[in-house]
Amino acid sequence: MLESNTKLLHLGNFGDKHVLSVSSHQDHVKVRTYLTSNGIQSNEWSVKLKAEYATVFDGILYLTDPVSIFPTVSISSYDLNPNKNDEEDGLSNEVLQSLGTKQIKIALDKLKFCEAVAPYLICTYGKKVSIVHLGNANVMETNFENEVDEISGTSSHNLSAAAFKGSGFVKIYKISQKQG
Amino acid sequence: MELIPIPYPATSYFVTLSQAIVDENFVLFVTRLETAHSIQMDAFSTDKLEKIERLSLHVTAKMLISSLALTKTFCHAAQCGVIGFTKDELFFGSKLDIDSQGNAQITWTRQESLASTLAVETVDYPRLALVLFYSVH
Repeated sequence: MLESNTKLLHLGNFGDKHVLSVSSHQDHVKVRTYLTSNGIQSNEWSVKLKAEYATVFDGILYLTDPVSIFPTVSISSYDLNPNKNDEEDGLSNEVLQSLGTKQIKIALDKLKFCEAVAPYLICTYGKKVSIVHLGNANVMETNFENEVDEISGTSSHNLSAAAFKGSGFVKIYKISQKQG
Repeated sequence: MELIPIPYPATSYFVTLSQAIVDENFVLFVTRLETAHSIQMDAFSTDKLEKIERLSLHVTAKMLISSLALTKTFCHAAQCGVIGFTKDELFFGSKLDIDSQGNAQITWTRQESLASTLAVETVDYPRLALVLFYSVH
């Protein structure tokens, strides 16, 4: 159960036996794991950081804050699997290992909303959309014919895709890293 | 970085995206409300982005549905269904039944009102479905 002053940023399967939740609190972020078999909490880490979005991709947790320091996006990454030999799917009681923080500037006049579609963060204002790759910090800007009102995303190891809806259009794209 | 278009017919409805593993391959599902009582689920291969007709479903829902905001697709023995959440912040569970003629029907059940649904995980469907749901406070 989450306390009333918290905001859940991420929920997803973690290994075969656990669910991972990431929640933001007043001045820190809590990462918790629960056993899927009985819902009992199995681990918890705390990171002193402000974050608005959280995504997990390839065993790395990305915490991002595009709001308080706009037009810069802060991306902090953490290794969720420091101990792969653990019997319980790589979970350990060690401190979350930080992989560093990057600051990325996006070319939006204002910020309407963002959507995390691992390993990307998609932010929009008006007709303009900025897509940030959270791993390598590449940024792509694109324009739609009308203002973007809604985004739906999905990601797996095979595919990251997003649907954009605005007045008079719905467009769906695979988001891909260019080869070479 | 590039955006590769996925061919999809023009619609005025918001579409939600989800993925599920079918026959050991990831499949992309594009789900949209078609009428207040029907949902179209179109399946696409994640490599060639081609529509997979055999996995695409036109689903009739018994209950009135106003919108779809978030969907989670589940598949079991190449039979796929959807769990949906509406924009008016009610969520629905579903059990997909396909009759001998191949018509899909979902029983939607209003379960609970939440502030805003962020994610849902299904565990071991169809024995156990809609196990985990969380809301943003």
